[in-house]
Amino acid sequence: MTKSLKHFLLRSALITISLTGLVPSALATSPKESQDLVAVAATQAFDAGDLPKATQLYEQLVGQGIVNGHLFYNLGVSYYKTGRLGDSVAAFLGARRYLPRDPDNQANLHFVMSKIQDKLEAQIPAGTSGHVATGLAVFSQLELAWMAALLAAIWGAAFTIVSAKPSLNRWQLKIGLAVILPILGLAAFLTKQATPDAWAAINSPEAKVYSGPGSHNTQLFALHEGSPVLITERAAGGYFRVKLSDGKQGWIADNQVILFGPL
Amino acid sequence: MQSKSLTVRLNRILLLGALAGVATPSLAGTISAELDHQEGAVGEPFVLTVMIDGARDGRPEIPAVEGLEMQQQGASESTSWVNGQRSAQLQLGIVIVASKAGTYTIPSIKAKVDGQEVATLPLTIKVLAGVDQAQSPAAKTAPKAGAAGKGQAPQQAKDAAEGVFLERTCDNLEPYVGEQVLCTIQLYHRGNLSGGQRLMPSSPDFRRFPIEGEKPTKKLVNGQPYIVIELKEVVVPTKAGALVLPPFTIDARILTWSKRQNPLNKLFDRFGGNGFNFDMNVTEEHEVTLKSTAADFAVKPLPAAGKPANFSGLVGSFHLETKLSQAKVSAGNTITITITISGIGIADALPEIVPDLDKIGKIYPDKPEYTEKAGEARGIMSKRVYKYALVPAHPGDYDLGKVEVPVFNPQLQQYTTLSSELGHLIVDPSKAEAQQLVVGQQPLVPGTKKQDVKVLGSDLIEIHHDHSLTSQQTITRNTKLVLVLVASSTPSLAFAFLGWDFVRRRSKKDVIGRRRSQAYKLFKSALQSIQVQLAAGHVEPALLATYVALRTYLGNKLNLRGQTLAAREIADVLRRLGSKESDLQRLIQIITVLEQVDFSGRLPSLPAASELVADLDHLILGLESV
Repeated sequence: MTKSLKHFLLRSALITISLTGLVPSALATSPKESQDLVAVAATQAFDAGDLPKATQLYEQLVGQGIVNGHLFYNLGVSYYKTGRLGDSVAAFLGARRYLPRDPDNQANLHFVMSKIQDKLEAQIPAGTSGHVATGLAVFSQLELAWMAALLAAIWGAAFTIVSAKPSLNRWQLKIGLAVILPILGLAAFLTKQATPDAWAAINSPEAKVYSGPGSHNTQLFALHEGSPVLITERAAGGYFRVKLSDGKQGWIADNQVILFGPL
Repeated sequence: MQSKSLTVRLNRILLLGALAGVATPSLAGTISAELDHQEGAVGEPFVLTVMIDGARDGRPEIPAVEGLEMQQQGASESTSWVNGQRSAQLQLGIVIVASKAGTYTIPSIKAKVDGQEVATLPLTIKVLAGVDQAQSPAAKTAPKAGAAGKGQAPQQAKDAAEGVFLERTCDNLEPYVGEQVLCTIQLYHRGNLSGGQRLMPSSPDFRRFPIEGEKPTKKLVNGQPYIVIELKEVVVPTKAGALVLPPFTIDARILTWSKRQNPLNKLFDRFGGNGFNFDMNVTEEHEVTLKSTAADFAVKPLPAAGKPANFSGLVGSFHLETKLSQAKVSAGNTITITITISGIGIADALPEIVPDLDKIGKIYPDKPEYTEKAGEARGIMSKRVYKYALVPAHPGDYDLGKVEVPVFNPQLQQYTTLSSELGHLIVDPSKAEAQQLVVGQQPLVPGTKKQDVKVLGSDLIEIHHDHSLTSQQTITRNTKLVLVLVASSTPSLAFAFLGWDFVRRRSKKDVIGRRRSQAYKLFKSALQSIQVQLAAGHVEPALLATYVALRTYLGNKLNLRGQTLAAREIADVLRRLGSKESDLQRLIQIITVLEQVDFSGRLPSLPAASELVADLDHLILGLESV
């Protein structure tokens, strides 16, 4: 089935849905096909200028557990155009987790960040030990996982070759290990890095940040809509521990922060 | 017992007496005194040197003279024995300063030398009224231009009396305001300076910059050798008019030498041995504040004629340089403009030089950097660097103009304006603007303010149409499974190979072990049939069977296999295992005989064959024990 034909069929199905007023879940289609229909509907609504509807449909897909950088990106554009700055920043930050090198997302994130009130960045300045981690930020979670798996496979192959050669002398073995062990170490490191930073954004006009998880703690400072925060911990009682690009840390109520993608 | 101690005591007394007798000089002692000069000015130090040659009794008394202040500056003493005769010399240095003009006579200085009274001749000095700089050590090297004394002469005279004094000369006493002047300070001493510290009294009229380093030289002042330490400082007048530069001051540590009576002298005196008496040299250190003379400056104001309107007070010889971090930039991105002004002079007070670039975008100044370096050759060299971040707002090709800094050059005695072109900057459209151009919207023209953009979000890049929005990009369970399979594929293979190799090696080891344990048993079994054959007189088959049995044994026991393995190679292996040399030689002989039987059919006699088999049995038994 060609792409255009598939597109045509999806559009036709969407028209049918619109005419009948049925929700996709009620159709006798697979969940994936239903989701594709909703995605097409959302994009059409956006193109038609019906931004609230497009936003609602994109949100519906997110609500179904879809984690997709392009979905978050489109939702970010829709949010911004409907005046929801904080949600827009969060959506673009979420898209960055899965499309770290996408130039459109980088440009739009930069654009919406210029509109926020607080002077914050959406990344923690790299320390002396953080340069490698910062460098790896250009890879998505999936890419890092694949790199780690392939490195482990390379290590296994190299280890097999070294083991199968009993004629290797001590120096050859040492050199072999010197090559193999860093590969294994890098694989382990990549596995650790494969959990991307959970950058979220404030989605209320003002959010109070406390010294502990709860409003009974000392209020440290306040953030405003759109401010990017790195979620580092979740506490019982609906509070996130957050870190800012300027080094400040604190606890914030989870209903004032929006995060796209898993924590 | 008592008589013995008395004898010892008498002997000691006699010995001391004998020594005293030997020490008693036979020649008469002498005393002499001389002045370094006989005519000088009030406050000028005269140095009187008294020399005593011979065994003296105590110190000579220096008579006091009204109007003269006498102070002992140092003393040196030497003692020598020549042909059994003791010779002693004492030299005293006395600094004399007259408080008023007149002619003074220093009476005879008396001393008791070699048991006789001796005396010097009276000396006369003539002291003139006023400070005759030409005669004073400090004045001999006095500043050539304008460093007239400001009440410092008595202080200098006192310092000279200590043998330490300061002089300062400045290379220009009529500088412009802000012009740097190099001053040279010479610290004279006669080896009695143990250390010191510069003091730089601040002055509202001058900025003072010390130049690190010092240059030691030697000079003769009034015939006296001095060590001269040359120091430098740069002074910069801060205002015009008749100004006085405060004296250059050093907190110095001066050494003085003095004599103290030896406590043993009393003991020697008791035995009449005063010729043995000597004094101890004691060195003492004390601090003095040395000051040069103050210097009079006639500081000229900067000329009003030709002064540029934007002159900021920079005086010296400077160079201006500008640099752009890049010649092409996208709107909204940042470039850095670096303006560097460097040269001879002090630029620390130079204000910001902000280029007029408001029409291009926003400009953000960084904190200026300033460095200065003081050197003897050029004085103060300074460098001031301004950095500005420019964020162009709109695309276009801009001429950034030039930067100008007016400077007064005191060498040329005129104002000059340093100028440097900033060059051209090409500003490309930002990504958002470029997107607008693609979709046919009007680009923002230079000068348009951001507020003019009405539509909210118009700078945002549009949504993605051609990508799947529903495929999971997170690591799903299936993805995890594939990843684990890929990651574990070759490591599993490696571990499987290692396991197989371990089992293989172990089983091989077991087989070898079994063979080894049964090697001798097999050999003995073969030997029985060989002995039966020998008993029957069948030498050749018996020896051929012996050769096979031996090879089999060696193969099983020592893993030595192969028909081509020579007797010596077998012997080498057995030698390494610790077999006796005699056994090895016999084994080689046996193998040689057996090989001859095998290859050439050359048979030994029956008794020799029987003996060979018996010997081999014995040797193999021996190998078992090895």
